[in-house]
Amino acid sequence: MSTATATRPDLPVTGGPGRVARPSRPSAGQVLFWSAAVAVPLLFLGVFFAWPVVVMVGRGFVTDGHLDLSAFAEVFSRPRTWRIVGLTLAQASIATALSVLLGLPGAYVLHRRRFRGRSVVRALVTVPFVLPTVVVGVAFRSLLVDGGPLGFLHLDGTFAAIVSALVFFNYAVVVRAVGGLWERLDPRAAQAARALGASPWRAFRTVTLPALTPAIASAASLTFLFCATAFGTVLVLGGLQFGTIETEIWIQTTQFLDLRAAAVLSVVQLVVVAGVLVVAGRARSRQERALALGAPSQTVRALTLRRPAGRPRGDGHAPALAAAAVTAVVVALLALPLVNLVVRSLRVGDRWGLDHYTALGTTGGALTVTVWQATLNSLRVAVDATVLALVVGGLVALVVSRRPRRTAGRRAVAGLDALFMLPLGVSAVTVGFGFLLSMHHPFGLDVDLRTSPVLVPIAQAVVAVPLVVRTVLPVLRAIDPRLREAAATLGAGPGRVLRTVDLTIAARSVGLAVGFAFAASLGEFGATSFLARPDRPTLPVVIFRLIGRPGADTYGMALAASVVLAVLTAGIVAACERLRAAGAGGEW
Amino acid sequence: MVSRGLDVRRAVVRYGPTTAVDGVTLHVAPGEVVALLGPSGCGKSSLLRAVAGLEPLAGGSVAFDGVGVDRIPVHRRGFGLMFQDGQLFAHRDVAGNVAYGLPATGVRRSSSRRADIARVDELLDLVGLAGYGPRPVATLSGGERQRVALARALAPTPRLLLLDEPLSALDRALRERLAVDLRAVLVATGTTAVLVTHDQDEAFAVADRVAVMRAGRLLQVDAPADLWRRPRSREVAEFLGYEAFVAASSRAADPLTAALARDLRDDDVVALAEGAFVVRTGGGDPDAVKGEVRGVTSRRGRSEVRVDVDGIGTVTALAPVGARFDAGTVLPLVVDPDALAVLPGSDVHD
Repeated sequence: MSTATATRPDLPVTGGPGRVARPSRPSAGQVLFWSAAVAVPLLFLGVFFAWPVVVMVGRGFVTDGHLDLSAFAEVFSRPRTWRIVGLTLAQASIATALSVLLGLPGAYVLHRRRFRGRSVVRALVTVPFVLPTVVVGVAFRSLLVDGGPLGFLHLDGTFAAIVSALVFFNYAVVVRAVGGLWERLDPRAAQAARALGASPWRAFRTVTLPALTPAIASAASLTFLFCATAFGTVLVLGGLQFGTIETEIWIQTTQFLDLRAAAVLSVVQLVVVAGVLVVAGRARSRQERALALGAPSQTVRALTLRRPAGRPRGDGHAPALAAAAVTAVVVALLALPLVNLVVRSLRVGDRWGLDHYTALGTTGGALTVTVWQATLNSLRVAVDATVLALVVGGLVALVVSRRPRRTAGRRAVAGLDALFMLPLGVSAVTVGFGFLLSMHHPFGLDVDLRTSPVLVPIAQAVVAVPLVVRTVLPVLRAIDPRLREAAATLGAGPGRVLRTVDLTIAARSVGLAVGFAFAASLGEFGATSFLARPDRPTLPVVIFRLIGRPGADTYGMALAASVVLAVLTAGIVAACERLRAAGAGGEW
Repeated sequence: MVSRGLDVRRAVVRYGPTTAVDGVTLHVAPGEVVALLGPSGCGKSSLLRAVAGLEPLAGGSVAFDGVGVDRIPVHRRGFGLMFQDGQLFAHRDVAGNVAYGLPATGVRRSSSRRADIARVDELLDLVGLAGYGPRPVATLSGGERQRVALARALAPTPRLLLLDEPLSALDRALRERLAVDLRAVLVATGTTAVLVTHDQDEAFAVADRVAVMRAGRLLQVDAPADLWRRPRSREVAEFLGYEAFVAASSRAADPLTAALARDLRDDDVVALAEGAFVVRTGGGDPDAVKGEVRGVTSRRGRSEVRVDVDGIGTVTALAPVGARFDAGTVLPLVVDPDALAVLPGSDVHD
């Protein structure tokens, strides 16, 4: 093998003459690389996630150096706690159920049918998912307040408003996850059922739906997770009456300074999140031992209003039209808050004008910096956070994509996978406040990191890492192991296999990962609200401050700033999505 | 008189600008099995899917027992369909798959349930899988899956069974064995069936009549033996595996016409299948046909020799088991009339 490659002039020879294609024992370089690939992310997660969370939670349970769990009893004896936990679960369950119910027809219409303008509609549907939570809150407020287009519904500050904002956010999650599987599902299974006498509805219920169940379960658990930990949107929309565990942690820490209650609530949230992640993991592993899948080109049919010639009645045309109608209504409803936000930001008193946008160059009397400066801050921080998240998340995805031969190794890999999903659900507020507590003389060192500007991008990277992992990992996992074996038999060493096979293929999904990481960082509010220094606020922090101030002008500025943030985020994600090749990008 | 069985008249199936089925007319009598044979992309699967109701007809009509089914959706046509890879429902066990099309599925009445269970057992028995009911379909081999798919398709006693390349995904030995079983099951149940395949042996083993299809049109429909003996055109003959064509008037055709022992018209063409020549092992006949060896291969032990014959071209001649010849050797050949067919002259050039 090695002699054959050494004499071939067209193959670059990277190793020495005694090189073997597949060494039975890993070389020192390999050991070093994989150790680093595991250690760097673990260290990052340990120092910047686990440690702050432990410190924060510890404050609640350690009194005078002793473990003191009385806080649990005390917090759970408050009716307010039960109300908040109940609200969180109710809000997340209802929003999840609605997202799935509306998302299924959407997935069918947008992924199984073809029509003019489909790519535009698909892009529009994705926009809410990447919008910063604060922007969504502001957009819904401006829609529902008295005097807003839907003010007559009197929904401002109601449970229904929060639920609809959460559905607005997560509709895309269901459509993309379910649609991604649906468009590759072999239609012949349903056709077999039809030929056995099943009506279109029965074929859907007994064949298609069971095949889609893993994707639905996975999308539902993600949606539930996002809803149960929603912060910015709920804080803006819920006022004092409604909240989630997450907003309650924020209120307990910043308003009541009750760290014990916040710690208990953090643990409760962790339990809920871990439970949902277990369910999601099960659903995902079921999805991976997949069904018969075909190429989208074979399964996608044109959507027409009229029944196609030669197709009989009762052949599924009416349900398809119903799905299209539902989707059209949902898409219109999704567009409504966005359009309204833009319209209202251009409204100055009784006339139209760009005054609110010109005001972005000022501090508006309420801020320490101008909105443009805050925007620049946000972009700078987002670049740093994205680089961090990409390095850490990329390494995690690379490690987790391996399939070790030994059971212990496989378990370790699965554990690592689950571990890095945690930041997705653990309260960003807990992380943010934990940073403040732990970075004052961290590990006994004589530095005070609390005043350092590096904390903000790090905290945002912690939040963005799971997004990067979930985007890159499915692509890496889908690489046929035989491709690596083929490269190895052609004389490529492990390093070259990694570079020329794994990294080359994964690079196609990196564009999307960058987009999501950047969007998550731009919109991050929970942790940033604690960590951003007063002289360097980010855009979401500025928006939140602006809407807290009375006055039509500051409110107008908040609307204009929200439009800027929304356009920035959506534009970056759209640009990144253009970079990715078709089919890459996993389950998002 | 109302025509019984399946009647396809001038059926047209289009995908956008391409015409997959171009005016096909076909009749299948009750209890008859007809195979649609053709290379991939010839439109045979599209025709089958149009009969099933899975593709809309752009023209023509499909009727069964004299009643048009064009306006009836798939699930009410009473046509069964079996796919190449079975398309078993992975979330149901074997019995659950077979029972799917039975009327009482989903009905709570215990009497009809008992009838269903009996029917499932009967069908599993029929396809040679007795006792497989509770097994998950993931544990089945490829051949077992196709047997389950067949049982499932037969369970609702469809008035017409459509089979789309039912054996093509299987390996050769299994395919040959299952083709025999498939024929037996179809005959035993008296099922009217249309089978789509690109495999000539499969079509000949299963069907009463074979319809050769090419580029969206039917070229010839005949019983297997008639099709083999009297291909109507050079196109059909080439598809069936006839490899050389000689004008009856040419001198090279003389030993062939002699072997056929009948008079041919001058514009007739003699088609030679593989094995039309056999390598002569006995004594020398100076007038025998001569062939120059190009190469030797082996099929099922028997040697097949590629030989150049003057005026005919390169053909495949059969030789005894284990025979070896060097390239360039000149061999004496005799003609096997069973591997010859006569194409009527007027049809050759259409």
